Amino acid sequence: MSANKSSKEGLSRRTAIAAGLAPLVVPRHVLGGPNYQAPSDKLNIAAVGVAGMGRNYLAGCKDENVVALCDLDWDRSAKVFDTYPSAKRYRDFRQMFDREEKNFDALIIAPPDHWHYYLLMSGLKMNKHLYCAKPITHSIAEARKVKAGVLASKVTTKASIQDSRTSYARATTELLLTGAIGDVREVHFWTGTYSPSGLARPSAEETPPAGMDWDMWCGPSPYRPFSKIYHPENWRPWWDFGTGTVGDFGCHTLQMYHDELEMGSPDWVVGVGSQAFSPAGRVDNTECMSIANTVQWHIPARGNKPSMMAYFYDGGLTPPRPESMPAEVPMPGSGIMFVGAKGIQVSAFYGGNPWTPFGSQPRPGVKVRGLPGGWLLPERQFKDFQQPAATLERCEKPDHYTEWVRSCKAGKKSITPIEFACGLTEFALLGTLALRRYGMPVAPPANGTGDGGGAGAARGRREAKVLMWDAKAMRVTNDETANALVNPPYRAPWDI
Amino acid sequence: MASNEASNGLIPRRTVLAAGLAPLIVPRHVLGGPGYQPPSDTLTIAAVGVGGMGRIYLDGCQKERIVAVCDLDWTRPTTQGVFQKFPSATRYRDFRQMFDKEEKNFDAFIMAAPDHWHAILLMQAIQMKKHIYGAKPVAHSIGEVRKVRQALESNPQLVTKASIQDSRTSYARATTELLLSGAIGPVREVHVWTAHPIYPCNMLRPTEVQIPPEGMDWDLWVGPARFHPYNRAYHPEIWRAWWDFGTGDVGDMACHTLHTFFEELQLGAPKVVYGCSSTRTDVYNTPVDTAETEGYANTVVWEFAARGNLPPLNLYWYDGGIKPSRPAELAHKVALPREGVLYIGDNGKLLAGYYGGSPFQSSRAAAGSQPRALPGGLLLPEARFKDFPQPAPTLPRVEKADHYIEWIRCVKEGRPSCLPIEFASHLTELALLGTLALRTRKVLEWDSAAMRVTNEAGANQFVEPTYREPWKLPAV
Repeated sequence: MSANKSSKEGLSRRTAIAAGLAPLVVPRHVLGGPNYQAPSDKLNIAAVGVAGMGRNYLAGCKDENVVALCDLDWDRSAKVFDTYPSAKRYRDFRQMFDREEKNFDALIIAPPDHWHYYLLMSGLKMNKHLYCAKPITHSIAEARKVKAGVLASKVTTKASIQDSRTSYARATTELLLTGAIGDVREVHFWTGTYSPSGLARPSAEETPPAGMDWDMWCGPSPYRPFSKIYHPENWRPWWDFGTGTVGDFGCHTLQMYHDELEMGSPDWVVGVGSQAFSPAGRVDNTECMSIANTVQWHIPARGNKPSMMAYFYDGGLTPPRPESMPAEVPMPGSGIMFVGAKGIQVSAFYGGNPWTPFGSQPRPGVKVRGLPGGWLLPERQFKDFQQPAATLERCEKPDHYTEWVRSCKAGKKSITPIEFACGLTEFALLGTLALRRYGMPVAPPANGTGDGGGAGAARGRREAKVLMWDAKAMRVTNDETANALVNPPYRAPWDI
Repeated sequence: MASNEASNGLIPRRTVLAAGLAPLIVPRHVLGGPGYQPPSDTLTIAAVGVGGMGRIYLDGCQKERIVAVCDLDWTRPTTQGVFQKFPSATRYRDFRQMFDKEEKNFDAFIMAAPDHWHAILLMQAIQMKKHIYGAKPVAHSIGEVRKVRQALESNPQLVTKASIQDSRTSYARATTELLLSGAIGPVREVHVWTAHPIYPCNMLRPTEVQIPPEGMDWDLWVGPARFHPYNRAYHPEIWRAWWDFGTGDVGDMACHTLHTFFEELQLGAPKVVYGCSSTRTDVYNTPVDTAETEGYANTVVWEFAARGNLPPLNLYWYDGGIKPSRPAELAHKVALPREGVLYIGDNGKLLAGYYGGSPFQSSRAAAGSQPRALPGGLLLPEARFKDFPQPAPTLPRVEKADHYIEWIRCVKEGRPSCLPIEFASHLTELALLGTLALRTRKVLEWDSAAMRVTNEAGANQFVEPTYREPWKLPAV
């Protein structure tokens, strides 16, 4: 199995398959019997960022040949290294690529968000199959470049959206596609926040874990002195490195309805976040996501779909309960609510019925209301409505790894290719952009008449400015501060 | 001026005035010329809780005679500032001592202690027949609010004022008048949002025992509430976030906006109330349970059934920087204001300031960066209402736009103020239902007449909570 090899040939693998030709490699299990996997049939895998989500991705591919592992923090990676004793260990992915390029076919990418783009483009350049954490990138411009790069390549890619295409996620999509609730006018999606947030930039510099090149970790982003407030794990709310909850979790829910509802071209977005205080006063969390945040996107009419609003909530906030929701039913702690012209569909955040998320059994004492795909309101109006037949293609969790590996070997597209996730990522990152912009100081008005009180009063003052978005031109048309975040510059030497 | 005397007389003062009789005291400035205020015309005032908002209230009444001031914490610069500003006022730490020694020496009482003290202090003042200027919310629980209201209703001679500074101002009235014009038709939704709370929230109960400020009787500060050892996380200033002492931002701030529409939209008896609060997460996705404080961001929804010929209505609350859905009709260049009220009617929307008036500054409107709104707010869609005029002012305004002056004058003249505590008690009750929903984290069905949550029995313990021994609510 070598993606390099196939791409160097005149006839691309995909074309070969489309033309009905035999796969380039004869599967060895044909010779060895079922369950026998000959070594040459194994995918050779390298991974960057193995101590975080990367270890789960690797576990999903453990029957393949893991040849090289890379992580900057070896203290944290020790267990993963031990699990794959024959894999070479690296701190610097450049070194790994230099030495191992010929030894692996597929690359698992799981470092923090600010590294995704560089690694994805490196992987594409080396013609490697790709498995990448979501969000696919840290900026919108990166998402578009990755999409173009992936579409132009012959490699098999997968975005790590574990619940996508599962039977519960598909049930939600299928229920929505019945049109039971009529034209969708609002989509609300909400989830908790998973890291300490609303934080001020730390003033003290701490010592990084032994042997860790912290400057390299910061990479293309601005350099910040080391603090445990970023690493391990807690980089997500920091705009330099992460994309906030909306960036982190947006893809996990948008996978079910972003394409179906044609949400690709919002024309404006606005976000706000909560304040934070210490006994000494206001916490300046300009560079960190707030504890609770909301985002509102406006999607203009497209085709015969009327204009629509999308709303995101995190950190414990939920949308208002629909009037038709019985008082004894608690609002799910995370979820989706589609508000249509003729009714409402409440579904689990990752898909399925809100009381049996992930297709699980309900907890004891919890009454399940509604259908496998969600709960239709008003209840009486939909009491005879049935879950539609399963028609969309499925891939059950956790078999996305198997599906990716198999697709790599067969030289075909996976069921959740990276280009699909690029669209979801872009939508989510518009939310990140709006929240990030909200945290920045209000620009003084051109004529000099401020809110009164001069610069002091402007400190900490935020404005819920609407960002006008020209999706085609990939531009915020009314705010240069926000527009600069669409395609931000990289720190040397990563600015190539 | 001594309300004691008046109340001991056979004829209530208000009856005297209503009968067209002369005021009991001939105003001395008639003799002394303008600007001269003779001592006997001067109101005698005592105040509790002067290190916080009390100092502002005292400033508003500084032309009167401040005879006694009380605060448990003498170390605060704010408390010291009050002491220096009113050197002849006798200083107390314990209000019981102050009332014992000074009861005969003051006519009017300024109440500005933390929320958990309000009802006890108000009832005691009513018992002593003192005129009252009191901080909002009127009390810490709905049960207390109703008892205070009842006591005030049976003492109509007492002139009271709730400290809702913007109420009855010309800008607040302009919004109410615009709403009453019916321009936007029957109102279905009201969204209010404030940029408070402005203190730490989402806190964990402190475990460290700290030493209270020097000379402060911490046990007395806790008073009728559940006892917790002193910590900087409560005092000074931060008590509002703790359910035991404060009422959260919705309790603190809702009265400041409700005054513009509460009566007009008949919001006395919601049928359902619920809310949600921000939650905190520690490292490695560990949830942090901060259930004893409010969140940094909170939302509340009150649902009202049809009232008379008013259709059903939902009232929405957002704080901590969170805002409602942006109305599609609002010009894109206009940011939703930091704080405000959005009324949604069948025929249009009204975007007003949180405290009343227009949320936009006329200077910025002139520069074109903000819309040109009416004094009462911005009607949407703008094109539909471009010729709609601000209605003529018809509702009474607070005299000289100064609630302190108005209260003092009303006390002296023996007539009700334009903002009596009874009025604020209704607003407070609605606000405290929001507090209750956030505190219990439940969808509450409310029977206003019975003063009971009907679907979550556990919530009723906060409707009429028991006091810590030996504290009792004084009967009136």
